[in-house]
Amino acid sequence: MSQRDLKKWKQAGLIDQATFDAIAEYEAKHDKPWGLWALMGLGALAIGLGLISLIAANWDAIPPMVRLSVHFIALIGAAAWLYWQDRRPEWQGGMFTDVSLAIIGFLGITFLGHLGQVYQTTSPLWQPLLLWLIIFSPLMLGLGRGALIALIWSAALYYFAVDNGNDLSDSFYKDKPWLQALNYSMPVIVLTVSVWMRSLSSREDLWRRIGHIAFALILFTTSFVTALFGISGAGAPELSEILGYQALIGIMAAAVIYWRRRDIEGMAIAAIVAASAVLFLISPHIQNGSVPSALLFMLFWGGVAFASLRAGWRPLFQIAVAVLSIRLIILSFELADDLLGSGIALILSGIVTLLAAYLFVQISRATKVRFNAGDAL
Amino acid sequence: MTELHKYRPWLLIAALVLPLAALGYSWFSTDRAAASGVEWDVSIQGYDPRDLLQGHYLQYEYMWKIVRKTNQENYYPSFPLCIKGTAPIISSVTEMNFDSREDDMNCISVIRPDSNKGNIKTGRYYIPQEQAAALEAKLRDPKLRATMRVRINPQGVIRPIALRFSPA
Repeated sequence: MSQRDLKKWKQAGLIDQATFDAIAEYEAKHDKPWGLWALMGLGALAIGLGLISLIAANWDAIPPMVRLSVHFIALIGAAAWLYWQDRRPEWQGGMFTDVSLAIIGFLGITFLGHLGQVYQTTSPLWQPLLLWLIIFSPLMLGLGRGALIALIWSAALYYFAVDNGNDLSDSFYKDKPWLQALNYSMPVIVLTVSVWMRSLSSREDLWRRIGHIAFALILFTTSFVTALFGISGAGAPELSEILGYQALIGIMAAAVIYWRRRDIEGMAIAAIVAASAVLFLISPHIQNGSVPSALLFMLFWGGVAFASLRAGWRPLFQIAVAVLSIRLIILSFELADDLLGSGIALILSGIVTLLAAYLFVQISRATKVRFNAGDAL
Repeated sequence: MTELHKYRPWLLIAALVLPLAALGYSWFSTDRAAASGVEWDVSIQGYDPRDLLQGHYLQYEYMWKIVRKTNQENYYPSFPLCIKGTAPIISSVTEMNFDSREDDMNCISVIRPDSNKGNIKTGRYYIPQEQAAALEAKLRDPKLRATMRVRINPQGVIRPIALRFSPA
């Protein structure tokens, strides 16, 4: 833990040297071994990649049935190890379990690939991924502890959603835009489930990470959808049905999130999900090019920035400000056809923004309403 | 969730057995499906990309000599194909369009696009990585003719079994 804040408080006379030492010692004892865990995560990743390459080499020095048998025995061994490890509390430090789960997960998905290779069958990737998700999710979500498993499981789920969505858009999902919308709304659904599970599960860290990844994806896809319709200039009415259903799912999810989690963070998450849903609804109908979509984009990220401040999420706030700045710069280039007009508009909006900031400070001094999180309101 | 704690050992065993049983069954059913069907020799031509999950494969194109009912050139086969001959030598490949009646045609094997994910024009053949470059070179050699032994099962699925080269 960085001692910056502690030193600041000590200098301001809020804590004495004894308290300083006591807090520093406590934090040192309870600090998570980030370095060690990163190392273990890298090791697990290397093993996973190595397994994939090993299968891909299709080593014919060993007969195929022998290769498959060895692979299956390795799976049984990994399962036995997981069972043994679970019975012993000293092996239950978060990372040990996650690494073992990661290894069995990699062994599982590569086994499906291995079968395809030996028997010369092919299938689009989403099919083995779907099977993997069904048979490994109880283990991953039931035993997983933190970021490594959150990442692996989320990657499998979202890649499955995108791949099957693309592959089946003309067959299974034809005439069923609501089903396609459900498929593409995985991040929103997972976020809602993660908010729910955080209050129910003892492994809060796993669900928090899963929630973060889903949330990041929602921010990304919302930005992408808004920007996409801006770039192409004309809206796309065909997509609007699917996006409309996604908006509906988003609003319902926001309601459930707020219902499960009534604090300021729950409100912020629900508000951003709802804003994203509204954007999904309106974006396809933007007919007039760069300015309206840029406005929507910046309104959305302005909302994200505001919500982050209220909820106390400083990293996200900084990211939001960066994104807004970059979008503004891009907009100024987009409007380069009319440099005079856009120049005046940008200067005016800059002045308006500064004026708004000044007014806000005046108002908040007068009414004691604060802009930041953690203040009584 | 705390009520589940006393079932924990059983839940853990169940969560561990589920993937093992499913993967084992997947192996068993793939093996069974692979063993059924009639074998034929088909000429092919191809090239070699890389599939990260399943390894190196040759992507090739079947040189079906299709007896067409339609008169279109470059027509992408999406109708079932009726294979006749004495296995493994194919004597005729006839396209079965809407007018064809399967019972009257006396096909030994039928290839169905639906069973092959819509694609009966190209195929993939998984090969060991060390052989990839050599096989690819042989495929491109105009002095060699490539023939793929395939197995077509009763459901109309076509599966490559073995590749061989002979002088053109």
